[in-house]
Amino acid sequence: MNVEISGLTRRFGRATAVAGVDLQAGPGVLGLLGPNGAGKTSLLRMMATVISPTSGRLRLLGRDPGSYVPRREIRRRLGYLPQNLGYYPGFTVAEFVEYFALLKDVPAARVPAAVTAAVERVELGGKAKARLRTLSGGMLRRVGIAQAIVNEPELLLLDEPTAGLDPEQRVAFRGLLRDLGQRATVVVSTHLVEDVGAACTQVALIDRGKIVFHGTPTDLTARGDEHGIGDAPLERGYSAVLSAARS
Amino acid sequence: MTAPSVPATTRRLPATRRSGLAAARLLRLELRHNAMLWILPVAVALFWLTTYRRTMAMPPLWNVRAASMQSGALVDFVTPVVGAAAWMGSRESRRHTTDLLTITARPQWARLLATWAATTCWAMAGYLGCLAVLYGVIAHQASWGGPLWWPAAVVVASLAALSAIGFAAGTLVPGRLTAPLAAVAAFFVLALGTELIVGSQSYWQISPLVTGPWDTGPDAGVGTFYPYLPDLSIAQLMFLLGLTIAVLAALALPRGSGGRRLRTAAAAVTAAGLLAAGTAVGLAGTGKLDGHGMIAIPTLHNAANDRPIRFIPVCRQTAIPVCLNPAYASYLPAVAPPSSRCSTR
Repeated sequence: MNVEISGLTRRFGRATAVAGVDLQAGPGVLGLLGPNGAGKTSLLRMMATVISPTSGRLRLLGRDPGSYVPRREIRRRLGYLPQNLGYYPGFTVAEFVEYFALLKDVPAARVPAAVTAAVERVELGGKAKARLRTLSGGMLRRVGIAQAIVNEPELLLLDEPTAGLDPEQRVAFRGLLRDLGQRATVVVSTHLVEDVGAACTQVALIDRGKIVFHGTPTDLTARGDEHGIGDAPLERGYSAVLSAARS
Repeated sequence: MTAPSVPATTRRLPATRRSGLAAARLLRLELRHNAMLWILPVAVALFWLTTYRRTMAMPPLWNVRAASMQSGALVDFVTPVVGAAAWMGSRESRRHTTDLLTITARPQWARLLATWAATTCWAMAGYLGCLAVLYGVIAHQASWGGPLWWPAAVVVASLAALSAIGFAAGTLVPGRLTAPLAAVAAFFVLALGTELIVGSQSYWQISPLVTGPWDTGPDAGVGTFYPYLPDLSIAQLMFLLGLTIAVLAALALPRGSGGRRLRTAAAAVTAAGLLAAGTAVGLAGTGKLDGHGMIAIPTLHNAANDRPIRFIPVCRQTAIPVCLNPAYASYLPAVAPPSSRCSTR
């Protein structure tokens, strides 16, 4: 298992963002669904080793991120796209991705090839020399994805990766996700259930800091067969599970 | 987005990493995108408008012009360097890249050091360019002697220290106002520090603006009849290098900057740097005005520097032969015209 979480809790002052989450994930694509403020981003940030848990147990890629040396080893094999991508407007696409490749300890001799591959995979090869300040929001999102995958991570964490992408790009992105999920654990936090249905092998639904459902997209769809509200089968399952959890 | 050309098996990165090459690539990226590069023309323009023109108005003597250059160049560069360094130091916070960068494998300190190094490289390149032009012109105009390197070295060390201080300010207190505030504060601290110097014995002589007795400056004969005493310059270099090392090492102290070993080493280096800087301040306080118009620090003083410089005078065979130190050769026609009856020097 690349992700092993038990009783994970994170508090910010009096607010509890994540309340005793248990989750395990191996290679494949795990969709993390939930309403706004459910705790998806906090959970993802803990898994990305950005913030440490208040309590509970977290093991990533078989290592404990609480100690420096294993944490560094995890970070070498980790890719992360935050919800709000910060960037340096003067950098070109290739330079920005190269910057992260170097910081992620990709061997210097392999950096140019890794950068080219990552940029090509997000279909920005023609914009490799364009400065980030000249790119649209969707293109910037793809740059963010490129920096996340430049080290060919074994654990890839993506927070709202399809926000700002046009329908065609979203379809292509789902293909990329499926491909990455064949060899790595990909955790995707999203509001868009159609992304989950198309690309995820597993789905976890989080509400008020707790996992209220964990299974396959088919399982989630089945939950909404009778009681759910929504246009798509997966949406009906989503709403049914949330209603059940809140009642 | 495409999904081809990916090895199907999980691939581990090789254990041996050529970190030197990676650091060089990182530095190259930082050099390309450094605020100091854009503000450098301002520093160079300031240097030309104030220091260069004032220095060129002085007699073509190495000693006089080099001493003037040290303090002038520092005043010109302090604001741009501190401002640019603080701007670069606050970049991660201003650009909201903290989360992205926090999770990279390379220690935070190594990343910050690359940004600081790029800022300092550009500042030094700008200064050394100015120095090369200035010294080139002096070499063309001066009739004797050679460049004084101690003042130049003090300015180089000052730029590193100022850059480190500005960068630390930007890193620790990130914000859009940090850079201008730090730049203005550094200028006033540097300029007003010398106001506290009273007489020839003061701890404040450690200020890199000071080249000799603060009220009068180095004697005009220093470097011509007697060697340029490096005592104060050595103390200043020790202070500036100690300060630079302490400030940069302190950036590795916060939790998350690196491993325990790195942070322990950083604490030791910070202490060593502060000790060196403190010792240098103490040494500067023991300085005394020597007989040749320079500050001599007993602990650092080399007695060999008290001996006069040997020179072969240049003479003009007039009714009364007039001989001058070759540094003043250009004055010979003025002091010994064919019809003169006496020599003035």
